[in-house]
Amino acid sequence: MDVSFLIVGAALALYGLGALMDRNAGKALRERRYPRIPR
Amino acid sequence: MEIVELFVEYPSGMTITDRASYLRDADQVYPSERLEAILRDIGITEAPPAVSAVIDGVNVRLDSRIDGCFSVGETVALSSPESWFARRLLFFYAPTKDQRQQFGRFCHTIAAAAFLGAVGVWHSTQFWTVESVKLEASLIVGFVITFVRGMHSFRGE
Repeated sequence: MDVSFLIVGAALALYGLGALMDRNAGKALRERRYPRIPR
Repeated sequence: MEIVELFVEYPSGMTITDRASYLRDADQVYPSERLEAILRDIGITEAPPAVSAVIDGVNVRLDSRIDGCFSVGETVALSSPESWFARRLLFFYAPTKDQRQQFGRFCHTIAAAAFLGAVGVWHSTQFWTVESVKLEASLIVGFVITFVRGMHSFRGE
């Protein structure tokens, strides 16, 4: 396997994981700031 | 009767922190009269707050009662996944600010390694073939991606 693709693939995987963490952290923050009020 | 930390968070962003009395037998939290008066006044113009308290080191959600005190509700925590594998990946599912910053540091470490690798390849290559150009380009792209990701992860809330 070409090591060039491996390097870029690993970098993209890291980017994806970071984006996932940011998205989930933002979701948790919104939930905390604007809690759903049960009706 | 125990003293617990009470957090009152309004949707507008205002947060009030106070101490309150917790009666374990009744499973109820009694705020101070001063706090009750403040909540009554703010309640005229504000939407209902989210109230939580730290009891036995656990953050629990409190439900408002008509008499002004609070009853202990569910534990405030994101629902934990059931499977062993999913629990191991919880830091991706519900990361703290510190965990995101640590991930940013890791990304910057990888970015530094990619940068040094690119410099090494640049200096050690005598004949630029397609393979070596591809390797150099991948290291530079890897450096840019991980550096940008690290900067994003370092961003505060």
